[in-house]
Amino acid sequence: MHGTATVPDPRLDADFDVAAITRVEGEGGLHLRVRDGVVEEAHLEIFEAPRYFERIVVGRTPDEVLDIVARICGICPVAYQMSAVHAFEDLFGVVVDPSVRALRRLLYLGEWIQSHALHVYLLHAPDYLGYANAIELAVDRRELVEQGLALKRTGNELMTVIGGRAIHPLTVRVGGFSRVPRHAELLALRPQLETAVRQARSTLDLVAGLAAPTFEREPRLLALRSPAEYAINEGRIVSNDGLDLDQRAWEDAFEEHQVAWSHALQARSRAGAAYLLGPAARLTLNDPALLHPVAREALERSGLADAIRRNPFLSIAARAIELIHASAEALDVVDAYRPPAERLVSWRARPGVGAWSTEAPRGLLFHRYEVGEDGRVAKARIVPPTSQNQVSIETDLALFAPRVLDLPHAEATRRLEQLVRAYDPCISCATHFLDIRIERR
Amino acid sequence: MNGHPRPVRLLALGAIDRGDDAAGLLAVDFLLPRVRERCEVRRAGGLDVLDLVDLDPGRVCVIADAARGLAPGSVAVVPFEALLDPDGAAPAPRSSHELPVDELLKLATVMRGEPPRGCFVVVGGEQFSLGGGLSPSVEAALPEFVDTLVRQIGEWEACASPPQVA
Repeated sequence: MHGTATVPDPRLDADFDVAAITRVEGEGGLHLRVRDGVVEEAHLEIFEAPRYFERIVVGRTPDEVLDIVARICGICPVAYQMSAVHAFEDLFGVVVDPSVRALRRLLYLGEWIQSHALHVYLLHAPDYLGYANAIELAVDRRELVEQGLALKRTGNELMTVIGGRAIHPLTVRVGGFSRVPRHAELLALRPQLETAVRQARSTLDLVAGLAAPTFEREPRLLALRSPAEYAINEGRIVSNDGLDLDQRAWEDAFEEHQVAWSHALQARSRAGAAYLLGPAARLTLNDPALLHPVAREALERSGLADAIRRNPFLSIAARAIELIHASAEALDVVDAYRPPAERLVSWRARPGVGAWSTEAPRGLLFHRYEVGEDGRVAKARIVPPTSQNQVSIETDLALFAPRVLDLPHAEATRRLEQLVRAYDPCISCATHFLDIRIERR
Repeated sequence: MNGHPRPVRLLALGAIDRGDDAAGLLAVDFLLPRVRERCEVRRAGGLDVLDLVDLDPGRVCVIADAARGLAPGSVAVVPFEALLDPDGAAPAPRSSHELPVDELLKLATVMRGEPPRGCFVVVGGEQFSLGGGLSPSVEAALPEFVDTLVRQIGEWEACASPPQVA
């Protein structure tokens, strides 16, 4: 039942609904069921239609899969390509040229830059600055939106130079790349990247000064960690409560469940526990010494490292720190780049199971492929970060909602949406999400 | 600003790999020989905010896509200005990524200092999920869809100002 009416205090006994959450990627809603002042249910209702990619790739060759899975998302296509290509290469025993490895990391850094810039400036910053959307923000604070778009443009252009185009890149292949840039093509981006580092530092200065709601909890965090670098493509799956797992072995510790209110599967640990992925998890679980010195210095100066772990509303600062890291590291990779001696090594498909996890902008992305005797995919599993973060989002909504349910519906909706946006959910990926309903009785 | 010399940016949207009615992408294959010299063609799974924000002053944009809410196979033209009109009756196409299309147009207007000029040319789709390929109703409408695109490209090209090459 919707609306207000039959109970005197809506905080005590109510259902709260947001029919379509705005400024998130994809279509979904939010439903809270409140009884005796306790949030009994907090459901992230993902109603964007299922997209069946795990079935579409069946019968396809590994290189076809790389093109298909990129279509899962217009914002993080590289993440899908990277998890898939590493899974296949690991299965087939393919060893790529070190420059190919560096170029793949650079392509991924480009995606982090454009995705984080989009989220920080166009999706999340309006919440903190008191604007209804990015349009109002642009009218009043044009310079901020210009800076966000400039960062996004830099990320897009990096992806275009390496991948052929910014949305759904074309050049990633099992064994390497179909085309690699000349050093001069990358060096042409150097001035933009230098500017991006400055803009990213300015972004952190901006968001570190924003008033974030006070809301702290101790989530179970999960991310890739590497002893050699801030983990993106390679590392072990680790958590802040001691999990340490090969990046191929996500299924050993986690599983997916269907729930009635979501077209996306939800992931939990095999013991049923929620966990949280993304920039805050990465910053917490990776050795700070592996951040680019510019980003490390900015993180230390901000004094936010501990608060980022506990307060989800500070994920905007975590993204800003990763913007600095990604821009500065991209500059270093560009400077050091030498075109690979062998841009595409030959390989032969072999039957078996290939699995890999990489760090998408929103968090850990796991792929698993069974390849048949014919060299084609027989079965696939794709576990995007939003599917894994759903339970944590719902848990946090249940904890946070009592603080806002006595506010007018529009204001309560705004604050709950701000919390959901803090996880940068990508519903299109997860169905592979948002309307809010509060049910009042 | 990218200073592209061609006056019309043609954005073809869709995800053909899924076997759905990715008519915008299919149409480009048919119409490219007729408009190659006049259009910068971008094929993409979805609109990027920079596609419209970075449209140079004087240039125009035609977006080809399949759409829900129209009878399968029917073709419609929705000028950007109709989507920007707060009192307008034009249905705002929904976007599953970044910003909704009407918000994206408004943001581009604020950032460019003037509204982007151009239109959506859409064909009513039948198949938006996993399918066996183009649905018969949309396949039958492809010639009309292509002709409408060519006509709109011509009309909007006439409105374009001389390109400013960076």
